Amino acid sequence: MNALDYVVLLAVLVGIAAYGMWATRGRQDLRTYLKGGNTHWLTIGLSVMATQASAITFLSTPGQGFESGLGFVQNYFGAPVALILIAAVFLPIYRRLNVYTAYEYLGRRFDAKTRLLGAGLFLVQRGLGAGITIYAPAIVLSTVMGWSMNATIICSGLLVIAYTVSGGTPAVNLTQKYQIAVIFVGMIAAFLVLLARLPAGLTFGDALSVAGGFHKLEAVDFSLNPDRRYTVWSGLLGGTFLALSYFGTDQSQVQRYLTGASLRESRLGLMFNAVFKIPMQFFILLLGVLVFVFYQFERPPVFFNASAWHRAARGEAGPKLRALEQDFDVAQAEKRRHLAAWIDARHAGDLPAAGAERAAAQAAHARTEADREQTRLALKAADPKAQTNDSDYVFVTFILSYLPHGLIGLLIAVFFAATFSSKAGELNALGATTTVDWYRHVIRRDADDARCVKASRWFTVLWGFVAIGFALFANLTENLIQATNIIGSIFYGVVLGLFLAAFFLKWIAGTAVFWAAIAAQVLVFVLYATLTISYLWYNFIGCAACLLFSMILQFFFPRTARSVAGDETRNPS
Amino acid sequence: RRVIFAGWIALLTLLTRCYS
Repeated sequence: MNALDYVVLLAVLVGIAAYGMWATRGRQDLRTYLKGGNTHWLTIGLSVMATQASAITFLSTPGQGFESGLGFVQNYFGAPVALILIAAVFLPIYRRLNVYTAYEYLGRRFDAKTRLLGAGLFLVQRGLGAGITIYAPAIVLSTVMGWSMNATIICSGLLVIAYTVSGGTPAVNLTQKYQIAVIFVGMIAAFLVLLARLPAGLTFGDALSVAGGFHKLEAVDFSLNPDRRYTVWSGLLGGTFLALSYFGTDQSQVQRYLTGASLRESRLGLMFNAVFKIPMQFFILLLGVLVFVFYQFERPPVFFNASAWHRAARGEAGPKLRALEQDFDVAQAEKRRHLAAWIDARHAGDLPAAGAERAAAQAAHARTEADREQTRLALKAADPKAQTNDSDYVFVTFILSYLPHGLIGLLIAVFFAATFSSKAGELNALGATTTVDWYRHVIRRDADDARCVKASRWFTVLWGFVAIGFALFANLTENLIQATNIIGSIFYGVVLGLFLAAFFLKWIAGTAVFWAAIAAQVLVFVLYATLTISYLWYNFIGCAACLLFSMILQFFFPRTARSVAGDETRNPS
Repeated sequence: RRVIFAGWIALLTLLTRCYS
């Protein structure tokens, strides 16, 4: 990074934040502060997209494409179906009741204790996740840029808190629109530079053939084998389930589409995501696949987290690591030679020669992959705490090594803009839920709008500092990052169960569903402690248990006048 | 009375078949 890069980086990040604060300055009532103004569908669509796409999306997803190819796109196959269900069923009810938070609906449909349970589960899960949103990109960027990690976390955290607290939901929506624009421009620019830097004579079709030769273009897998991580079926079933709970019941998303000027605007914003979510993820994965192709004709590092490799190479593992690097370079040169011969044979129409060269290139690739695996093991042996998954470092290494100055600053701004946009959405939702579902509902029932706005600002600051503290002081490793994903899956299922019971089980009342949710949550905790199944299954188990237990318990709890009065809110028209 | 996804699956299937 040179001076030009830093100017671009700071101008983009501070400029958008300052504009967001300036454009939403002045006094705001509670409705404007928490629900925004009359937002256009495109702003809603971009805001929903920006809240979901954190820096990890743009750092890790290209790395995923580099490492495993396009198969990860199947993870998003559930999104269109889930978003249609939310637009058709969830959204009209939320709007008709004019709620600030999704959990307010649980209070109308069931009772106060169920509302507090739903809000509490959200606050625990999202509050823990908020620290990761800041931490994950900070660890990668501070490592490759040589910045202080704590300074990176504190500076980026404070900037987000400043404009989120100052402007509330209108500022979050406005800044997200410009942040996602910067993200799109940056990623498209990186894609074009990557295409331009492919070897002369290598067409886009050749690049796809090379990627296909190394099994990077297997985008769909119709296999019924449950051991495979990403298949069309797991994407359609598990993905629908996950997307339904995330987009339909997570306040950080619900708050985005409740800002719509009308039901039509909110629905179109959701449909925008239903149409563009899969192509966006496909594009980011394809970018990673093309980075893979690019590195087949260059000299890639044997391990992309260069600072971790150099640190270990200075110790006892040095001779072994250097020997592996030497063998990797030899195998890589051999692979490059066979790939060039393969492309030439393809162009000449010499299919037998093309087949032989392709097989030789694949054999050389197996050798380079073995060297990479041995390097990981050597790094782990040298330091058991070392992170040996370097896929998060692939894209940022490519950017810093091959993009022109100015564009490097823009791409680093992309990672921070993505961090800010998802972080702001989370803090905004945490502040709103704490204010509406706890402060105004339990602590100060007589609080007027002005007092609630003030409380919401302070709660947003509080959650912002909780996130910064979690990122700074928790000893976060790969496993803890995964642990936060596990926390999400453990809570999401039960929360979705609460909402599905509210929408579709018309005869279930508050007391039954409250105790059913508690029992389901305990069951999930017990199963998590005793079973070794993938954490994704807990989404389904939590939801199914919540629904089943509530149906059983309803036979033992007589319906009260309060729960019957809630019936008017439950029927989706 | 008054959402392409199937088309995307078809395109991705075609891409997988052509390059594997």
